[in-house]
Amino acid sequence: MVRFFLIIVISLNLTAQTPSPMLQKNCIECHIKQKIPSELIYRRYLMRYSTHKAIKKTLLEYLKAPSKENSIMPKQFFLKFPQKEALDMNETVLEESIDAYLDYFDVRRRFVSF
Amino acid sequence: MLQSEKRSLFRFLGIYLSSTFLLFFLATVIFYDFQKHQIIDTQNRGLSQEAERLTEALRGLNRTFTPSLVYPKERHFDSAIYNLDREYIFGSFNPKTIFWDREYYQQGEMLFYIHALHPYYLGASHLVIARMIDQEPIDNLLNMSIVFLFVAGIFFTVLGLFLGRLFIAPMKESIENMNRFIEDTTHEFNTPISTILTNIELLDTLYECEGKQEMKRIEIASKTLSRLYEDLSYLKLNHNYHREIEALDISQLIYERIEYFNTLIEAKQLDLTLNIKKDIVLDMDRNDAIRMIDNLLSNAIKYNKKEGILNITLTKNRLSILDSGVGIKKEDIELIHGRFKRANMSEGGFGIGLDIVNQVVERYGFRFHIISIYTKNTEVIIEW
Amino acid sequence: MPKQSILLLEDDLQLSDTIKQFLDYWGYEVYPAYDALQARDILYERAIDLMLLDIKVPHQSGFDFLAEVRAEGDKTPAIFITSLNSVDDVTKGFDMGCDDYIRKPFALKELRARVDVILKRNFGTHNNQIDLGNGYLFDVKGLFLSYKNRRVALKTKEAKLLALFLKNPNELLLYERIFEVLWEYDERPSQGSLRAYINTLRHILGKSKIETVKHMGYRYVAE
Repeated sequence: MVRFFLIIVISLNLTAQTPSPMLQKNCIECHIKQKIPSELIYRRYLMRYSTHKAIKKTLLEYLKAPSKENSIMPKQFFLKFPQKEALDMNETVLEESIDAYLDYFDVRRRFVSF
Repeated sequence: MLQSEKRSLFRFLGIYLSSTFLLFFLATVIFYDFQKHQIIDTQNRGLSQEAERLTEALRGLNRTFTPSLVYPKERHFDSAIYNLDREYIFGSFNPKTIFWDREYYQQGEMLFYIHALHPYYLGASHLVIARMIDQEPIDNLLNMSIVFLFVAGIFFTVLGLFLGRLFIAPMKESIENMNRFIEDTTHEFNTPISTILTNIELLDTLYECEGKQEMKRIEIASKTLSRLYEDLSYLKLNHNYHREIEALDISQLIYERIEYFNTLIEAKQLDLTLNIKKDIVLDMDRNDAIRMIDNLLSNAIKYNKKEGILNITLTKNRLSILDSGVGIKKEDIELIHGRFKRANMSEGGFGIGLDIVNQVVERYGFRFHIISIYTKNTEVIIEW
Repeated sequence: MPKQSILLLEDDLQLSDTIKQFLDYWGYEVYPAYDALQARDILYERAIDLMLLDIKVPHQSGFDFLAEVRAEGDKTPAIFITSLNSVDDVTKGFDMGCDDYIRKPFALKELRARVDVILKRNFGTHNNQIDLGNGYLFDVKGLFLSYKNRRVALKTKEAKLLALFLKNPNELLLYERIFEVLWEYDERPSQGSLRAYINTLRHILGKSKIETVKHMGYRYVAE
């Protein structure tokens, strides 16, 4: 019985969110094509930086000048995935995209009381 | 137990008990405090263990990262996670104030523990866990402390009583020794005094020399000695004395006592005026009456001037003895009356005489006044 | 002339001498003892009319002495001389069977007055004389007989015998008792002399007044 409810709730949650078109175009499409796990990246950033504010700051820096050193990806993965190239987007759009990204995967929304 | 013994014992008990109780109470309070901290610490450790469990749970959640994260909730505990900026992420409760500078603290009836997480699973840098303080062990502790205090109280009181007795034992022994000494000494006086007085009588019987000056002096001195001995014995025996209350003819008795003191009165050539109403009868023990009258008379004679006045008046309700002696200062009169309020033996000054008068007066519920004009005269009045 | 005899138990020599001198002066015969043992001896050697006992004496207290003596059946009256007036002493004294007590220091006059009273009591009277009828008066203090105010000459032992009879009216007096009273411990009692004394008294009082109880003793028949 409980499992049934759980499944309902989870599926409801899944259908609640869709990425904004901007995010979709700028980031998600490429990630899906190259099989880069966006969610995992978010999780990793969370684990290291805790607050969205901190994540945003560091992500901005990275996207403007990505390198092995300031990448969140563990070193071994560089064997599989190539180094990302610098994004050629203006600052504001970049920021908005990051906001959208963070908002989409926001961990706070996922919590549910027992 | 004498009054003074009781007073000493109570004073000692008072100081001893209050200081012991205070000390013990303090010790108990400190002990209680310490134990309470221990209890709280134990409960804090519980919090700490819970924090570990929760951390594990969060790590698990972090790994799976399902779209819906069920916040782990344990019974008895409430927790919440916060990010590096101390923003509330989620939790089973959302406390209004958190003292971020503390690790373990108590707020109201809850214990709080702030646990730092690393790495920041789910973005959580801090985990705040809280629980209601389990009052039961604390209540038990309090009950135990109170019982302990109570038992200790009884123990110390009993010990105190025992110690107190021990404490006054030497004093008690001293007093008893002194009493016995007085008793034995005064007892020894008796026979020689008897010998002197009876021989004076015998001399007169055999040689009819009662009128001789030398005889009179011996007689006066012996009678003084005898009176002092009687007074001392009276004071010593006062509580143990066989009293025979009879209808005493006071008028008659006064004449008798004046007769007894006759030699002394004549020696000072006093002007004796008697206004003694006949057949005045009081219910008294004869010896009490004699002690009272003798002391009043002897004072009136002793402190009188040569050729002075001695007026003795007896009416239905009062006895008044007036002498033209050196008198008593006003302050001293008050002192005398004040002194009687404390049941003391004489401390000098007027000797034991007035003490005895006062004892008799108190025993029979009489009243006792002294009117004196310093350097002129003194009048002592007993009323009933 | 016979005298009333008084046993004085007092251990202070000066006081004892004083009392003895005084009472002797007034016509009593005082036998002093300084401790209970001596007192006992005197009591058994002589016929004593009155005992004056100080309480605090060596060997045995005056109380205990009297108690023992009473237990042995001696009825001689006793006056205690006591220093204290405590409840114990007084009640104890009377319980022991004393007849009076006097406190030290006392006036000799007072002592004498009490002694008189007790001695008169021995004869069952408060008066100084006993009326024997027919004009005969017996002086209780001086132990002498007078007829119509004139002194009757009596031998000492006759007077003692008469006194003994008057102290124990209507009582059978055994020979032993009479001997004890009349004769001193160093004298030998004589049955014959006794008969003579009885005759004399019968002459004076009347034959019927003194009854012979065969082999036992005599009895004085009072009114």
